[in-house]
Amino acid sequence: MTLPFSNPPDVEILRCAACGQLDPGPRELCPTCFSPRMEQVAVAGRGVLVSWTLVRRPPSRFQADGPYAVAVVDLDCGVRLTGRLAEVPNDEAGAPALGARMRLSGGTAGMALFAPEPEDL
Amino acid sequence: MRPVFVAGIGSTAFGRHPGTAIESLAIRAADAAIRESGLDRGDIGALYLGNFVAGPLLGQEVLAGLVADGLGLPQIPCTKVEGACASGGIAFRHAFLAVATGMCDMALAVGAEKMTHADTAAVTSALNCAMDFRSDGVSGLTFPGLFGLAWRLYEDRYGATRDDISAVVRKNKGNGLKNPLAQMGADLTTEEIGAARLICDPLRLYDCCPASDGAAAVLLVSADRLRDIAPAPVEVLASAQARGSARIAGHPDLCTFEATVAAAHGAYAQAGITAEDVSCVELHDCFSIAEIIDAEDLGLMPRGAGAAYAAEGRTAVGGDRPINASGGLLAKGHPVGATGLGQIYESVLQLRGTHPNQVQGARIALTHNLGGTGVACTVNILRATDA
Repeated sequence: MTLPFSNPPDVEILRCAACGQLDPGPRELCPTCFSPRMEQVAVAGRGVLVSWTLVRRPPSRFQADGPYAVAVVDLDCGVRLTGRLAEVPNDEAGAPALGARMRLSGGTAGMALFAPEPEDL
Repeated sequence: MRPVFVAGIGSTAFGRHPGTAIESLAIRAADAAIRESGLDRGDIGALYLGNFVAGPLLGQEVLAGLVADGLGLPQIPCTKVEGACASGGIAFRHAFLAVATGMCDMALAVGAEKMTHADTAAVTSALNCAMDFRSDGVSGLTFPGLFGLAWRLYEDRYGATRDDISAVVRKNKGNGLKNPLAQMGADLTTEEIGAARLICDPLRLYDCCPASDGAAAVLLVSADRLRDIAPAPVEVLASAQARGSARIAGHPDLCTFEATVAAAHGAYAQAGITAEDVSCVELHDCFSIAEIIDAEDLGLMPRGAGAAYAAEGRTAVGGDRPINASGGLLAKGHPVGATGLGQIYESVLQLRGTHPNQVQGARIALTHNLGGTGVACTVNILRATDA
């Protein structure tokens, strides 16, 4: 559950120690300068909804999760993440609009869950 | 690089082939291509076989060698290539290069897949091997999902409606009715398409290509073999391949595939033509929205115009930009490793003037085969010869 006035959890991504390039990771070499010095960094779990889709027929390993909504969010730091909507929309009207402000609301290793920012609800 | 020509083609029907081994399908298609050419199979210098999911779905690898064995080919290099749904197009390109570079005078490209014996979850899982399982794959994203994301963004940006995009489905399903190799041609109304069950919102049932069994093959030769071949030769003007991001995070825009744009650019340059010169196109419509994005990426129409072109009949067989006269993946079917070679098969028939859904006066044909999240793409351009 998200609390209206709390900051969302941070997202762990990668930052190149040589040139500062950010990347969602995992990645062995910096995509800009090819340095192997990609280090973990925490960035604010806030961004904008790029698009979402409702997966009604999951592959075998995600059968138990279905249906679930995969979402692409552009974090304010400029990094694009693929995760899920924390709440599966019942219909189109119940879903956040494209471009809506989103915040990280939880998730597990490597998979972020996003919810609309409270002021956008 | 020297000129390369199509000497023979073969294909099974795409669809359900219960009880027929994948090797049998591949050998049937390849043997037909060799026999049609009238050339001696003992002169074939290389075989490239496109296949994607025989490992997970059949537990069978080394298909290139198995198929060559069945065909009775000499002790030539036989290589399986894999690039997800672009595997067939990549096999074609390798055979093209083998002849173009002078490595051999005759090379065989074969594509084969067998999927319909497996249930949907197993097929989805096998196809999902083309996801990056250190990034997008972790979210449970599927390939219908990737195109669901693209659709939602596309309709938001360009104002295309459900009914606009349904025009692609109506056209391709209708084209499929005229193609004896097609798995599921149909005469569908816009209402039926829009009311079908949701698969991956906003994608509905008819927006998605079926799982299919099938095989297709193409025999390529150098110019000095042309005097010996039976059918009218078709020249391969270009065969280009490019990579794109393996991850959604790497795509700056979900409404375009940079691999398609790069491969198309390369192919047009190799062929010395522009999109304006293309008579007919077989492109990778794994989903209805994919046809629109692909066509725009190939430069066949302006950005945002893809759905309107379909609705106005401009991409129909009689239109000024005929796309997927075969029925495409949506209607002809998508035996993934065979699809890229099936596109060549269809295009060669068009250029010979013998296609069951003929584009009148077709002179130059383009094929487009896209793999994974746009991680691999091939674009090939073929031309009728006046010989």
